[in-house]
Amino acid sequence: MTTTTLIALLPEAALAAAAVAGLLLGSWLPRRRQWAVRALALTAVAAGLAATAFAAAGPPHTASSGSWAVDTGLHAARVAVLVGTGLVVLAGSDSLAGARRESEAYVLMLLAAVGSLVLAGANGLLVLVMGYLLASIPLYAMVAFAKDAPGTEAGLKYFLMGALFGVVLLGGTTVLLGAGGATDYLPLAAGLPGAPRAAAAAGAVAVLAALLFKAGAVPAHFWVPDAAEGAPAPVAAFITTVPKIGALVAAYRLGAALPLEAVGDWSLLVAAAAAATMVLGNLAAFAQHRVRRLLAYSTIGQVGFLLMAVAAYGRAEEALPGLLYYLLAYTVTNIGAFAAVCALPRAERLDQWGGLFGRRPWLALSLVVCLLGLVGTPPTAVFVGKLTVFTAAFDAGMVWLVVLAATMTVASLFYYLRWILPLFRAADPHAQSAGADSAGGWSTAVAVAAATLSLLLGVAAGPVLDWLGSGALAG
Amino acid sequence: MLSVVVFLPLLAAGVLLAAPRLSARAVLTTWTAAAAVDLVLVGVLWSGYVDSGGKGTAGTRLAGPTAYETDLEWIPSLGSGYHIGVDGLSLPLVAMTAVLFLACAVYSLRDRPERPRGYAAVFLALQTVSTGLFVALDLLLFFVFFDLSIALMYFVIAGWGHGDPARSALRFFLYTFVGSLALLVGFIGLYLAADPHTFDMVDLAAQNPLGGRAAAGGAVLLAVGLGLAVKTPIVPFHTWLPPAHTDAPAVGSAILAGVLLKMGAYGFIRIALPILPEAWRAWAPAIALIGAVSVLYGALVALAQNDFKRMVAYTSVNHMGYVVLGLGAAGTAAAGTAPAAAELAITGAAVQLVSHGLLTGALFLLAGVLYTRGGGYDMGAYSGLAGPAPRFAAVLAVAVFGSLGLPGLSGFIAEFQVFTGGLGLAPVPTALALPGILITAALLLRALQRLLLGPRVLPPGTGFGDLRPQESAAIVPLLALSVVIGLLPRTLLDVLAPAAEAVAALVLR
Amino acid sequence: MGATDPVDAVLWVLVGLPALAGAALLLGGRRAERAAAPAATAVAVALAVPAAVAAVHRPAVTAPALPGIPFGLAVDGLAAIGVCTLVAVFAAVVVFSAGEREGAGGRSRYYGLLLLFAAAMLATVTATDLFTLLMAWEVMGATSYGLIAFHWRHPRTGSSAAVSFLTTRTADLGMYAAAGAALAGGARGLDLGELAGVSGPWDHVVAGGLLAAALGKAAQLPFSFWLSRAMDGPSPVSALLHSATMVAAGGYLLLRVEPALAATGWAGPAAAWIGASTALVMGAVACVQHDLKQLLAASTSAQLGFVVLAAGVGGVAGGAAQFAAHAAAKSLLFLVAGLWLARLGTKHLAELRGAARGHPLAGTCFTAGALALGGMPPLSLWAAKDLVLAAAEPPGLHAAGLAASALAAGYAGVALAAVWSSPAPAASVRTAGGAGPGDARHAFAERLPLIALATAAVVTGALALPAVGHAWSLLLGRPGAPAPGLGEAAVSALIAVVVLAAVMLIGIRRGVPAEAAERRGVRPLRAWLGLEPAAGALVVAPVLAAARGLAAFDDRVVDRAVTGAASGVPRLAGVVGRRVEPAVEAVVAAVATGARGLGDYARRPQTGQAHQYYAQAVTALLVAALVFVLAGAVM
Repeated sequence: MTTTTLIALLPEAALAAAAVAGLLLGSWLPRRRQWAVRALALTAVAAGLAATAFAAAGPPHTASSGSWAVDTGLHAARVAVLVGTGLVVLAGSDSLAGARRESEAYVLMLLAAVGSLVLAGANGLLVLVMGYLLASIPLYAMVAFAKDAPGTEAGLKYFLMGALFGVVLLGGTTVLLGAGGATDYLPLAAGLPGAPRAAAAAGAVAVLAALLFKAGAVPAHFWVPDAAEGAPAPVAAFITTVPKIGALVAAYRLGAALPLEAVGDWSLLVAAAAAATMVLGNLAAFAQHRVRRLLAYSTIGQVGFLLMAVAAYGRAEEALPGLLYYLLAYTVTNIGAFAAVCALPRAERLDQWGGLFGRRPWLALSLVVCLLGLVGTPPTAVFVGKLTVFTAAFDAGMVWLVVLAATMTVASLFYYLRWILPLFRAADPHAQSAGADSAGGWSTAVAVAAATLSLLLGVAAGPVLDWLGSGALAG
Repeated sequence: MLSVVVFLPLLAAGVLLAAPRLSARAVLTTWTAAAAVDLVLVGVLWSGYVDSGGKGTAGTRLAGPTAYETDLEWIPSLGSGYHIGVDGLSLPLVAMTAVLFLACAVYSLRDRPERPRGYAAVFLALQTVSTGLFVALDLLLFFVFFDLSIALMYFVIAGWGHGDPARSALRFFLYTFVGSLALLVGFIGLYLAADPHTFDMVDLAAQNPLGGRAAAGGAVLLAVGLGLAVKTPIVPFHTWLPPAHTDAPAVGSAILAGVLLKMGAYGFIRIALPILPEAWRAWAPAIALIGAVSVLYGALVALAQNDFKRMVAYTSVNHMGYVVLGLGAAGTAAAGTAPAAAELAITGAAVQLVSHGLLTGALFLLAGVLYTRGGGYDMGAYSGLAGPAPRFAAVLAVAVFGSLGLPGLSGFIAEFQVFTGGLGLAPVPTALALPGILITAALLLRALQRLLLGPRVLPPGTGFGDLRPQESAAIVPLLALSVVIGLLPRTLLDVLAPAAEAVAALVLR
Repeated sequence: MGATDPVDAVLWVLVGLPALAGAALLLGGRRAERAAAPAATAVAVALAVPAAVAAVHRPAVTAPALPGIPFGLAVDGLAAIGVCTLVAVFAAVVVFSAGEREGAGGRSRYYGLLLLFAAAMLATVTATDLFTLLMAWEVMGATSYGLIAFHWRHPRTGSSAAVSFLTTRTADLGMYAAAGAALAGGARGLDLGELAGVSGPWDHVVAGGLLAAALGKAAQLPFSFWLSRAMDGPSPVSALLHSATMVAAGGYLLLRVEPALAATGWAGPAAAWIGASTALVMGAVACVQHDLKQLLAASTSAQLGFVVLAAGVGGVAGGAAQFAAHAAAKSLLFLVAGLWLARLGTKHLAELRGAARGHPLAGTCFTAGALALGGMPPLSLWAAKDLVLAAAEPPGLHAAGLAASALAAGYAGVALAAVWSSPAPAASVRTAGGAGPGDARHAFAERLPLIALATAAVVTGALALPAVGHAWSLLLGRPGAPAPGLGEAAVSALIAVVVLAAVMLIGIRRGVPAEAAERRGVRPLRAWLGLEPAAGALVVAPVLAAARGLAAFDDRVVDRAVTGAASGVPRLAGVVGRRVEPAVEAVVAAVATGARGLGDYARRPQTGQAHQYYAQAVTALLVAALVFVLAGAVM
């Protein structure tokens, strides 16, 4: 590992180092003092952000003999992952503080965050596999963190699915290596045109399948509702947000770097996945009565919209900035919504949220902003993200997908409103009202912060989009 | 300058919220002062606009020349910016908004709402949002103001309403918000269709992005129309209106009917006609028919009401129907021509926006007077009020006659132009709508007769004092303005008619 | 303002002065109470100056109003007659009112509305375009509403005012339609002078619409009933609005737009026949009334039938003469009726027996008016009617006109017989305000207008002189209008004299004729043919039923369909079968259940079984890979 490689990996290194240190520190510290690990994690996040800012000033380049891309894609993913991780760590403070394995949770989160970043920066299949494993294995443990029956079951299912797609990914990598003679994208792109078409296609589909699993998209989405409901709320927030960032950037890179059009209509394949994902996610969310399942399906729906940008790769100017901006917006907004859930862990059903506005106006307002943000209401950030992604898909000629997405957006309003409306109703005296519990202070603060960020990001969309659109991908 | 007009009330709201422990009186006085200053500024804008001969700043033309323009980039890659300006179409509405909000502030001096700080702040914010919407020249900006107006009105009804305010407010919110999402989808359709993509209304109108694409144009018009129809409201999307009005505080009703309903209809003139001319023309006969149905339906249902406020609410459906009828009829003229009839119909529709704001604002404030005295709106509970309250009777009579379209008040100017312009263009819908003015006359006179004439009857245990000075000061100027427009229509039309002419030229290009 | 010539400004004064004075009185409220009567009298008298100037100089003014449609006033021959008649009657009524007690309490409201009405009426007769005309026309209706409902505490006046206003407004819809049609047909600025040249098919709408509006205002069939209800207003108001001016405005309008009626081919004859039948039917109605004001009201309808008839046959000169002569005679009769109502507390014919004997001056004036009304030669209406009938060429129409004149003589006779027959027993005479039947001391202010109007009603008979008749036609710009021959004049004179004399003789001998005519066939006539209940049953009731039905529909169906779709999908599905409007609901429910069903489908893969997840995921992947490869191969 050369110095340049090390510098190119500075944020990831910071997180990894903090993870190792946290593990050591956590095993020595008494339970009451484990906040130190939290502080450490947050410090690492801050350091990572600083390093990202430093790195983002430079031109796009590759490192580690071409298998690691340092470009806008990675920088944006870093910002999203780091901010997301930081927010989740803060939001989890209420329920995790003083828990038996508090530091363990932070360590796992940091490691998974590194995995997501490795996925985002991977410019070759081997690094991709590494990132996949790094982003998956800590999460299996995290889902089952509470050691209760639903958590364990969800963790097991998550693990089984992950194992399946891990095998698929390894198989795909092998096939592509055999067909194209390389694993790094640059030489692979040179080798693929001469390869047997079926082999190349099968390999590429296999790799994409693994990424869809990490992103929680159809047909690999099955783990999302179970895991989101079974895992502790902060963990649910993390697994529905952070791994997606790396996976979607990686999926975009795959399409952009390899000459897959020669193999088949790659764009259409991704678009089909996007369509299936948004339809399934949004429709299935209709009849949910439990907030976490509703949010889980909502995240599936959101991935569907995000995949539109992946499908529009190379054919629309706005595809990459749209994807990256949407990822940033989605990260803050989704975590904001989950933070509200973290604040009131006992309010599991929608009807328990009745009358929250009367008791905790700030929490309720933040939740409303985040949910309306997820719908895509101006001037929140997700609106701008959605709009950019729609534009990209439209410019790429996929009008049908845009129409479908617009329809799904309108449909999504209904299930989000099913949650928003009770907030303003008078509390139902029979239902166990959520507002009666004391809300977690940290998570409330995170919810408010996330809602504010979501609005600020929307208002500042101009410069952010300019930055995201300024650089091409490396490699 | 225009930005100051827009954001001054919001600033005042911020000051009110930040200031520690103001007395109720101080809060209401501050509110009134802020509204008055804003009105003075609007007056300065108006005189400046008229003095410049309506030339405005060169270059930008949407409905005629635009003045006091500000165009700042917001999201350049999305072609969206903070683009505001006034022209002959928006200036009267901005002025009407300022007048109505001042009237509401003055009215509240006497009405003494609970939690005055929040009350004043919400209304001030609402004023910023409303004014902003009327001057917005960017679809996204328009939409943000559109949505915020819904949210703020929700708080007005839910926070200060009576009856079953939570339910009515929620229903209002649900309807109009769902409608707004359809509007947003339509806006995105316009944005995507434009090349280069843009949300700028002026650019869009110049581009005519969906020209020659009938199916796409129709779909986008459907989405935009749906969103605006809910807010206007047009039958059958009106059912949120009666409960919202009945349960809202008087001032809230006045603003809801006077200003917020205008947003939908204004959207048609500002967005649908100039930017989607071909789709508008293609669907104009159907739109005119829907307008006629609204006219008749609103009038008939209003006729059957016993609740004064509910009745006035339904007459709003009727009055807004004239707007849609006029705009629809204008669209039926042949492309490439700009007949005087179409200009007349559009002018009439635009005048109706201002006129209805003034008259219905006054009627709802009078309904508030009724409520503060007698504790209810049931017309069966009152009779012979002309005896104890002659001023109230006189003012109510003027408002009622204005609302039924009596010449000498603004409503006639609007309706005459809509009918006269519309009949030649869309004979069947216009002829269908014609009895609307008769039914409206019948129902309003019936209300007048039940409330004011005959032997004196009051709800038990109540007295009926005449209008207080603050109440008169709030209501009478609205009617006076209506009379000015009715007798000297040129005061308004000198500004409005050229803009309507420009819109006619755009939709019939 | 378009007044280039300073004389033109006279028109603004003519309309503006009463308007401003009226508005000032209304705004002044109680503070203006004391000044109201003198101010109104002053204005009414002062109006004579601009009216005279306008009649001589024929000014015209325009002001910009709507885009392409100006606000225009002008005085031509016809308008000069209208303005002078109106100003004269108005002055008489105001002066009379000032001496009467009708205005006691609410004087500022009373005189304010009267002045506003006068302004509107002046604008109506001088309007040059449909926009101005419609404005003035409707304001006239509204001020009439306010005046009829003047005694607002009385439970009936409010609804009477509304019936009058709404009936006339129903007819006014025609004028709105005419305005639209005129624009569509190419009448520049909606100018009244251009209406005859409107292109088809809009010319029919213009003529039909104006005809409807005029028939409504002129209380012609089938709109006549509103005039009966309008009699609930104060008597001077009836004198001004419901005989001489507002009602007459309907006839006046038809005279003004006579070329447009003639241009269509059908509107003229239609107007003529409607006018003739109204003159006949309402004449019969008038003959059997028990109530003096009702008798006068019905006779108003009948007399205006002649104006409408004249307009229909192109006899503008005759129509204008009838308009002016009737205004003088009828306002006089109403004023006397009001005077008796105030003095004797009754307007019932049976109770008015001998009223004329008790009030010699009023009785004499009443007699002059009634004789004129009955078409006695050589009084005014005899001459005017002959002018009208001279233009009515079709024999049927002419005969109908003669029959109607006979009826006119009849009802005049009925009224005269009642007031001149020997007084009823003293017990049946109600007294009001302590004034007995013998108390004949009238204030000067009351006397003067009566005498003036009576003189006018008599003197206008000069029109029968060929020279005067010719000058009159010239004034109206219709030289060579058909004049009655000597024989025709003699026939009509004879009819009038015979009928009137017969009715009076029978009436005086048999007591009050109204009581004598208590037969079954008369009852519908006395009830104005049941026109008001008919309108109620045919128009009002269906509209009210529709309103109630729609309101229920709105609450139960429209409202619920939309809220139901949003909030309660399952509830809606259950509701579908039961509702009255299954069609509407079914669509909504289908959408709702469809969406719900799709949601169920979407959740179905989520079985919770890991092996099924595997199977689904692997299948989906294989299919995707297969399709991808195959699609690639095809490409």
